[in-house]
Amino acid sequence: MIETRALTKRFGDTTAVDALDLRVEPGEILGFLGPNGAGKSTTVKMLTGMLQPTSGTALVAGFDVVTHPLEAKRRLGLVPESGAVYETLTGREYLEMVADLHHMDPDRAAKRIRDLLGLFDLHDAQDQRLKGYSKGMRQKVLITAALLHNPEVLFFDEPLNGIDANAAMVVKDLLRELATKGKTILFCSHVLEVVERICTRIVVIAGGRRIAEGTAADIAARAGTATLEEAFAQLTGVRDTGDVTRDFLAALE
Amino acid sequence: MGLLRALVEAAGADYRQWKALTRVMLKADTRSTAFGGAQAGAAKEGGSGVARFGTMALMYGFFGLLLAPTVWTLADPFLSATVVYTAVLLMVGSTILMEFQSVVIVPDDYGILAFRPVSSTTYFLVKLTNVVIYTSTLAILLAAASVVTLGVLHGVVVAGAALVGLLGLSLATALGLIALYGAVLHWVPAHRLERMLSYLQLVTSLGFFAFIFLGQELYTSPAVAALDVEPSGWTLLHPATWYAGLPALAAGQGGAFVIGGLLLGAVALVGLFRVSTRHLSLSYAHRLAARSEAPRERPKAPAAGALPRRGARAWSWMSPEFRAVARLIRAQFRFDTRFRLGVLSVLPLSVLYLVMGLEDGRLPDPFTGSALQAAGALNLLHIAALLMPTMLMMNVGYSESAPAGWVYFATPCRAPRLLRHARMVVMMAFLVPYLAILGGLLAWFFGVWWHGVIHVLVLGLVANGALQFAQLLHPVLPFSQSPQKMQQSGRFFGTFIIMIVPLGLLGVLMAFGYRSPTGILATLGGLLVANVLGELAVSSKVSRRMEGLEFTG
Repeated sequence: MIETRALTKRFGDTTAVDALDLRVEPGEILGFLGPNGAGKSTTVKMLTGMLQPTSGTALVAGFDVVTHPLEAKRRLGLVPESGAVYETLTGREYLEMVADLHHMDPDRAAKRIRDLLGLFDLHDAQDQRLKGYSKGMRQKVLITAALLHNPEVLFFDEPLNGIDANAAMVVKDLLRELATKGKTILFCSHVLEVVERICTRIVVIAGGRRIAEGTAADIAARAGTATLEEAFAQLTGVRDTGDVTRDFLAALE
Repeated sequence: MGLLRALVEAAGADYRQWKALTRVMLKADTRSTAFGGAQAGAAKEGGSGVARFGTMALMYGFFGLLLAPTVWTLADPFLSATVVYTAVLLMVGSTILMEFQSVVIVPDDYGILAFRPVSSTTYFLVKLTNVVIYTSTLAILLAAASVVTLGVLHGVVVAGAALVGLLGLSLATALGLIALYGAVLHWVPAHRLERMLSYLQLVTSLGFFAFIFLGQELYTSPAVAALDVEPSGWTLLHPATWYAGLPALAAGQGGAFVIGGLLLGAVALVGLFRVSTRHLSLSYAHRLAARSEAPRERPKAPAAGALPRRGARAWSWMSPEFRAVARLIRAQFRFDTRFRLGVLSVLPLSVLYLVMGLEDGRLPDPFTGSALQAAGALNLLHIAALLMPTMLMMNVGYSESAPAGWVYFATPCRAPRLLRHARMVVMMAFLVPYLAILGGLLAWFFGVWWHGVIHVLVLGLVANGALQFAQLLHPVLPFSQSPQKMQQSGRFFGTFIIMIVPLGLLGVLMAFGYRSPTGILATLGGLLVANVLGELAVSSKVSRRMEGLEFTG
């Protein structure tokens, strides 16, 4: 379970997340949407203990991330938006390091690493350094790292970045299966079609505040639009895309 | 501005691009936080690039103040300029070796510039300008007090000439080392570049510090001391004298050798500039980029059920955090050029000090002879034992892959334990082998084996205390900070100064603790207690620091 109560983060005078209330139940995949700078990644960072909230509460699997960070972190897995990894390590070494940071039994971790890398077709590349991996291969390693300790709660921040179509299908199926097994999943993405297809519920935020919630159909209906994409554009105040395109071309003249 | 434009264009570069890129580089340097990257909490303490440079300026200015009395005493413009320029040569050379080799040879900006219409010459000139701005500023800071002293003694014209000579020497030193690196990039096949650069770093550092050592020996030998140092054929062997001719000429000390030296200096500047331009360009950045992009190893996939590698099994008895940190440090040392070069730039000094410490072929036993004499003879060995692990410990916090430090924040690892294990890895991988070798040597030299063992134990405990102090001063998670310019040399010179404290402590221990069995026991016991207290202090400070620490990468 993921829960935030009046979660707020300020950077100086800027409020990135403003009294956000959120609740994701086990078995749910919550699509977390918002335009650039809406506060999605900041929220994820607060929920995973990477940033301290200015005020409010962030709970992961029932544990307050601020007062019981280790208990919360034992139960969460994260695929960060940055996709940053230690490139000098091989794929396998990186996963072994993450397993060690989670205090996993080395033998159990080794078997799981072998199995998961095999599922992502990375078995042959496991002893190559991450520096030589493509963006998609790194992303697969990060997804593997997030799942390695079989966490209750998963945070996926743009997990399909750079991943090929086949692997993307595997990830999407995997997310659905994980949800049916009772995992709690927070899924951030700018690809609305993917969100629409796999998420059981969607929350749209802008300016750090929640501006819409429900299924894709609910949100579109409430916004009076035919699709989630149109509803998103309307809700987040984007100008008519045709106008913007015309203005762009005019600026280049 | 017109002159600058003419100079840049005369060098074959695009003035507008050069100006834009130079400005951006300097802005980036001043805006970056010293301890930016993964740990925002630390950034508050680290301050901006300007603050970091201010600290360096104070340090170099302080070193410079120590030179001024020598200039005052020597009075002679040629000789005093030679002494000051020698110090500048050594300082600027050390700084480039430790700091700017990475600026020069690591194509950070290649990805940004490679597809833009920037010529190789412009690219080179931008890189050179950046290095020269830093090295010239440091040279001026180091020599400012001496130049003023020359001005007081011989007038403004001599001081002005000394300043011009100083800038010439600083530029020549920078160009010389850049040309050397550029030549290596040119001649070495791409697939051997990484290893070759490491060897080059070792050899140039060793050569450079050997030069310092030989210089010390030469200037302190009675034969040389008896010489009246006038400009002559043999003084021209030392590049600093070429540029020292300028203040000498301004003071009316002309002569064939002074003019000859000045000509040599001018030829060196032009020649080195041409060589550097030819060898360091976007095309070489392209070679480096190709090297870093190309997958170097394509190992066969392990057979199903294959045993894990030996390295992984060797650490299986250690704690998970230790294994995680050890794996990372090992990989960084093997494959992160910046980290390895940072370590390798200090290693030759340690080896040299070891050799210098043993050069007389005998070492006085501190347990039986005079403690003062023993301290004098053993100090270099002590510096080597203290400097390398301390510098390594400080380098462990920095990496280009710092954004990957998010993993410490999103996993249930305890930061204080990670830091403690990082120190343990440094101890086990670097300090313990060094002390084992040293222990054997000392046991042989002292003639009483247990004297060697006890002294190495004492040294090990003091070195561990120094590592604790380094961590207390600057606790950062392994490879969680982006490296910044002027950090490595700043840490090196800073550590060198701070080293006085443990060296003094060792002297005191040898004088009072080594005199009786009780004293020896008390020394070891006292150091053990100090180490335990140090551990508690580090743990407490780190826990406090890590509380509320945020990841901003």
